Amino acid sequence: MYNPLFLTATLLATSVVAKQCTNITVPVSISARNGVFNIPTLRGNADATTFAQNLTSIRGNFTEEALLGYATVTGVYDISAKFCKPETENGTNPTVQLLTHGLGFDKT
Amino acid sequence: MSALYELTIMLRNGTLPSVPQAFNKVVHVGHSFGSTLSVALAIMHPTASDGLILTGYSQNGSYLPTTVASWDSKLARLNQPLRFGNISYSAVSEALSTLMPSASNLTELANALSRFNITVGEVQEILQTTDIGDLFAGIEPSKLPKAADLPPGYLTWTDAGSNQFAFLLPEFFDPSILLSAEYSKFPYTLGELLTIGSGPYVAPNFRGPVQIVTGRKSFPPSFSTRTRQREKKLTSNVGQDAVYCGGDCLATGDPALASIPAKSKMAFPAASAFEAYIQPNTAHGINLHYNSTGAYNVIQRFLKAQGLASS
Repeated sequence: MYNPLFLTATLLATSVVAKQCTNITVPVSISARNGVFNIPTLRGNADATTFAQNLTSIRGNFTEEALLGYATVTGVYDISAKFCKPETENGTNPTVQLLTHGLGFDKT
Repeated sequence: MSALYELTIMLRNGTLPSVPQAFNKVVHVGHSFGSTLSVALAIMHPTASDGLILTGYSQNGSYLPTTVASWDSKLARLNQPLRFGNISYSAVSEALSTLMPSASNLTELANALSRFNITVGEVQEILQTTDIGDLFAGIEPSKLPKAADLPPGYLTWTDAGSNQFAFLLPEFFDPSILLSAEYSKFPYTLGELLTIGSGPYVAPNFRGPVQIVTGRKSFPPSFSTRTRQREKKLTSNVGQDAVYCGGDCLATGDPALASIPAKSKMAFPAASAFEAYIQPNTAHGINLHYNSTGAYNVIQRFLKAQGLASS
C-alpha cells in the first residue's frame, strides 16, 4: 500500500506548477459616470435594516426612486491587487487573467 | 467598472506597477458582482476583453432580494469592530489577557458556566454561529489588523448563518471553513446593493468567448442510506447557488432551457463561443466547496480550447 501511494504523491507534486505572487497597490486614474442617490447617511444598524426593507420591496424600483441623477466622479484611487505568474515561464505570448471578486470578498 | 478598464489597459500596455510585461490577451474572470462588472466592461468596451469567464453568475436577478434579506445587513464597523471599526486593538488585547482563562483554567470556566446551566458547547455554538462571535473577528495577535474605521455605508451580513445561507451547500464544504470565511469577510456598500440588479445585460458587440460557471448540486448519492440512519442529519437538497439560481440552477421550468445561466446565450449574440457550465455539489461560494478545483479545471480547459491559454 505504501509504494503506490508514494508514487501518486510524487506524481502530484511534480505536476503542480508553483506560482509566484506579488501584492501590489495600483493607483488608477478614474473618471466614471455614477448615480447619485437620495440615501441619507446610515445612523446605525436599524437604518441598514430599513434600507434593506426598501431595497427588497415587491415594488422593485427603489433604485430608480432613490436616483437623483448622475455625476461624473473623477480621481485617483488605489486599487489593491495581487499579480501571480507561474514559476517557470517558457511562453512568448502569455495570456493574463484579470480576476474580480464579488460582494463580501476581497482578493485573498 | 472604470477601475477594471484602467487595469486592463495597464496590462495591455505593460504599465501595471511591478509588472513590466505587456499582454496581448486579457481574459476577465469574475465571481458574482465581479462577473457583473466584467460583463459591464464587455458592453462598454467590447474590444478590451479577449474572453469572459463569469462564475457565480446568471442574468436572473429574481433571487437577489431574498439574498439581501437573508444578509440582515449590519454596519461593518459595528459587526466586526476590531477589523472595520475604530477600536484600539492594544486596549482590547490588554483587557483580554487579564480576563481570558489560560488552558489550566478551562475546568474552572466549565464549572462556572455550569452554575448558569450553560455548557461549554453551547457557548461555543453562540460564539461560532451568531454575531456575538463576529465581535471577536480579528482578535488573533498574529493577524493584527489595522482597524479600518469604515464609514457607515459599508455593510456586512450578520453572522455565519447568513454566510452559509447565501454561499454554502451543507455537507459539501469543510465546516471549519465557514468560521474562517466569516472572520475574513469583507463589506459591501450601499452603492453596490443599489446597482447590482440594474445595468445593461446584453453585449451585442462582444466577440470573444463566454463561459458561465455557476454552482449546482445533485442529490447526495447516499441520500437513501442517510434516511435510514438512526441519527438523521439535516441536509439541504437545494441551496445550490441561491443568489443567482434561487437554489437550483437546473430548475428552469422550461424543457428547452438547460439551466438558468444558459439563458444568457442571447445576451452575447456575437460571442465566438458560449457555454453555461453548472458545477455540481456547489453553492454560490464556489471556492469554498470540496470540488472547487474541478470547476477551475473546466474553466482552464475552456480557455485552452478557445486558444486563450498562454503560449
